[in-house]
Amino acid sequence: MRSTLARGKLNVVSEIALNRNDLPVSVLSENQTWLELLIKRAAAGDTAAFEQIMIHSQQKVMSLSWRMLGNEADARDASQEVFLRVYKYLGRFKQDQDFFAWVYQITVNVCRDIAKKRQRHSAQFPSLTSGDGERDANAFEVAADQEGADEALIAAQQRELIAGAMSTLPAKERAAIVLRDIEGLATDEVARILKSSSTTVRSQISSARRKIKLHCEQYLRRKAR
Amino acid sequence: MNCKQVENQLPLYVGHDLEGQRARLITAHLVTCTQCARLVEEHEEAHQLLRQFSAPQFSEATYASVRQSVLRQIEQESSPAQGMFAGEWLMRLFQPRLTWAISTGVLLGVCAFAYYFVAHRTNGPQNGRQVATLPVNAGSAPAPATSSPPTQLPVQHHPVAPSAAGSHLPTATSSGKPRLRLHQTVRRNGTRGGSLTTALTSPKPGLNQTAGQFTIAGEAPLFPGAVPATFDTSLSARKPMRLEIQTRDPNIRIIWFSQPSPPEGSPNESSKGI
Repeated sequence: MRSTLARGKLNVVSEIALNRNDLPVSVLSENQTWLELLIKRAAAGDTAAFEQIMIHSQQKVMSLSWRMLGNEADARDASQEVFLRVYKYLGRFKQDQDFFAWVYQITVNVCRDIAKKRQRHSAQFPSLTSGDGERDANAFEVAADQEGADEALIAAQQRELIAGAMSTLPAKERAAIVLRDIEGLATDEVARILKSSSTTVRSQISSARRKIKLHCEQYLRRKAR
Repeated sequence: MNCKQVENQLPLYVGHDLEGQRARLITAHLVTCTQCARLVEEHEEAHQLLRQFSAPQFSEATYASVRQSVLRQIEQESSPAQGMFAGEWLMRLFQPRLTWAISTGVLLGVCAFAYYFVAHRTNGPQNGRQVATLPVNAGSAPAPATSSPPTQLPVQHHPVAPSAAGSHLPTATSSGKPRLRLHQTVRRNGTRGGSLTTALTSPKPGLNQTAGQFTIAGEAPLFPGAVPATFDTSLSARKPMRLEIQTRDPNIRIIWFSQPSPPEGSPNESSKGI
């Protein structure tokens, strides 16, 4: 199913790219995936191909940005900057690399830059009742209508709990735990993205998990009172 | 493996980040240790919550606005280059950048300072020569006050025998072989603006060439290797002396005649400068 969809996209993009740039047909090898082709076209200046790349990766970039920064406004800014950097440095991307790992790497760097710039040491993750988290709260309200009030409330509390725990983590630990536990990447891959060693990443993950557990215990203790 | 070691490994154990052997050891420990087993349950709960920490579902409008914003910025960055005229492109190419402008300014400043420094060093001795020459020419005229470094003048001093005083006296030659020279020290008096005085030494037997030197009173000789002259008043008092000072300008030579000193108390002592 996906390959059929991809082939359809490939044909559309190929036509667009050939019309715009008059690249030779031999470039369109049968073995190239449609994503690789999109990358080549985008690197050659084809903005339509780049828009396809954005459509394909926007959900991953936005989610990772939101988890790293904690609110939608910052996640949007980060996503814009990520895609601008992707377009700018697309020529440096090597075809043997994993494209999404490369995008993740850029996303982590951009989120770090934004976090440093805004210097939000505390309350980076908005509370569901706070004004900053109004849009997220609206999203949860919509979800509440669909899934039922109780489940939505529990999900919101859990989200608040983990968001609070994540806000206590240093940037490196947060990046490591998000990539490993939430995005589900392997430790070696996380180490590659963060330009660190596997041992260091493992240590950061261990420390982050311990802190999150501690935060959860304290949260539950406060709730029990 | 004791409980402390297991407790340290638990965060990695619950995420399956441990090597097989170590994970098996912990699993074996958990079978027997209920306290550690309870800790594992707590870690797993937190880990499960973490894995469920999903970002909210963003609307398609949000994604579209991000894409449009990115494409607009890309278009803005690429459009000026396409619409640029050749002249503007050339002007931008040769437009001096701030870094280069600052570097050029600093370089010019260093060059100007170096030129001034070299020129100042070159002019110093020339000024000094004028200062040293004028009082000698003017006899007792005061020397202009200046702090310029003392100058080196080639000085020839010829003791003039009474029978040989005349045109055949040795003079400085352009061949660079002066026939007879004596140590001579011209000292400036301690007071500023005072006249120069000459201190003459008597020719020693066998001495056919010495270096003349100028020094400032109270300072070291200009030539490190030169021996300060001694002043022998008895010889200069007995014989007529002819003193030639060749300045660096080959057209200017200072010749000083000194008559034999009359007996003490005589008012006929005289000297003549040409």
